[in-house]
Amino acid sequence: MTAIETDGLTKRFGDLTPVDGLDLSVERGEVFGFLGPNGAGKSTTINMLLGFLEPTAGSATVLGHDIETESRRVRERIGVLPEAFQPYDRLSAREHVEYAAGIKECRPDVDGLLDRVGLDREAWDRPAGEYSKGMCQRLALASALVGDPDLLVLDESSSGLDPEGMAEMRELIRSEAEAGTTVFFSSHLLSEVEAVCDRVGILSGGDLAAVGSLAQLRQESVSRVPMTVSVDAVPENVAADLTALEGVQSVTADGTTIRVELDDPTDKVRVIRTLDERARVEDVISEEKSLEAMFERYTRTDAGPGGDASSAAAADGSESASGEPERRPAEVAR
Amino acid sequence: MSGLLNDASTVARNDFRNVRRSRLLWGVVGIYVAFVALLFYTGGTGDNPAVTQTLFGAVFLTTLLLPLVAVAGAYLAVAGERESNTARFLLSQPTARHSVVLGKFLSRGLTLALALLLAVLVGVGFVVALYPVLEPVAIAKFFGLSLLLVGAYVAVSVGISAAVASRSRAISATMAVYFVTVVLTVFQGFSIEAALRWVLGDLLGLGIGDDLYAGMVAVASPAEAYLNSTLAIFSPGNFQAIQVSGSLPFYLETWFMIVILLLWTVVPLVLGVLAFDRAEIG
Repeated sequence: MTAIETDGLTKRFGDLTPVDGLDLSVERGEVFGFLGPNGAGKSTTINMLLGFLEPTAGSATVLGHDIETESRRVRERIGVLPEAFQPYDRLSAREHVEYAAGIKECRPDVDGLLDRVGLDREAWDRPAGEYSKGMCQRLALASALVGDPDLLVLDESSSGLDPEGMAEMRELIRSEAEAGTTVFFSSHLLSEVEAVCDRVGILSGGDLAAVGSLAQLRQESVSRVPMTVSVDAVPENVAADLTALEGVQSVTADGTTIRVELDDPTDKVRVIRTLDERARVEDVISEEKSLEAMFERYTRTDAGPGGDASSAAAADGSESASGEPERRPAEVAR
Repeated sequence: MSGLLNDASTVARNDFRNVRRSRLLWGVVGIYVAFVALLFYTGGTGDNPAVTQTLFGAVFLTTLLLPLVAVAGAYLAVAGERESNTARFLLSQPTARHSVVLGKFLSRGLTLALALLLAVLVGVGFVVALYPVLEPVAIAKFFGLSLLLVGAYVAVSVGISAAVASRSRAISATMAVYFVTVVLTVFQGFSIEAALRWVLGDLLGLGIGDDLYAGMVAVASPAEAYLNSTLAIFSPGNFQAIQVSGSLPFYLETWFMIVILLLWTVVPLVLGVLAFDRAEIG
């Protein structure tokens, strides 16, 4: 049984296509991390799921309900912590929870909910305009939990929180998940997602670049060895020349640095030797093979369609030369 | 249907809780109540205090000020939520967007109705203390007709608020409506009627009678319709300002003015709902 299923979901605003043919599947009972840099299309996707935006193309269901024709049914069964949540300044936490309860037509244990999210008892009846960011997020979570939803949608729930607040928010999410609630959790921070999610999808350029369990993604990521070489000037045709070498998967050049991904650490020396013939090598940086590095790679090379002008040509050249689509290296069959 | 009403009343209850704590709104309401009080006080302490005489002044004061109070109390109803992002909280609940617009109208309308009631009660206080005759029917008619005026301007403001995405657009559009339908209508020399006469009479050469022009202006402006409707309070003989020649055509009678005011309540709300239903909340 799927909690969220999207099929070619697309949203265009004029020339921009923040979500481009997204195929996503979130199972019931899992904690799914929806990961991507700011502007990757996470919020646009969530806004379509919630009925705030109308899809340009494609379709989606949430808990089996069509997001366009049964939006209200969708929202009856989910709890949402919206992006950049703002409370009504003049209403208290208790009044917010009562508001959500009024619309969901249920009678929750308001005190119990406020207690559960760890909001200080003395703040319950104070106007939310006086709350700190962390208190606002707790209030939002308490409201989202009204009516015991089958699915929690948390859009950048840790934004604006200090590290301690983030840790507490993670703890709250984990305890909800343990209680059996499906959690769909969007973030631009890998560390946030890593700590709570069973499975993650990395969104980049409006589509999933990678999806799978953290263990799977980690394994995929270590199969690529990144290195960065600084040179005095990037030689011509460097991308084509380097990808011709054995074991080189991709090449990106930006300013005076060249980024190379390799099959094996022993391939590094060949790259340096080749570069040394054409330019003065000033520095060689070997990076850790980690999930962080992989995530950073997506967020860097796919910051926008084409990236900035200086790197675009080299990046495009390398992608076509390597003969392997850069975008879906870690797609894992389920 | 019951879902709609339940949601709308929940939205209204919550919005009323929120808006009644707004000091700005009560400040604007206070100005209106203070002017009404002043009018009833000066009328009551002058020579031969008469309720209808004072109400005559109160009608003009109400025509000018009450729409402004209604605009101030309602223009942010929906657009303000979109701009401050509380709309995300509200719309992620299982509520239909038309319930939101209707709920907003109910709560803002109730708030402004209470403001009007306060002004009238203060006026009644002065009448009891200072005036020889109470004239409750005239006061009741004044309250009832003014309530329709409140409804129309709250509906227009909520409708506009639902149709635009930002605070600044909401304020400019609602103030434009206020300016055209109140300021340009009440000051005769430069008015909707003058514009109509110029276009239809001078440009198109149509021979249209004065009554028809007056009818068109009443349809175009809820404030003008309200002014016309108050003929039900005042007998023309006692007021030189009211010039009625012979019998009025039906489209200038009070009942038709009431129909116009109700249409100005329903139509803007429907248009606001249609616009908000299609709005993209990004």
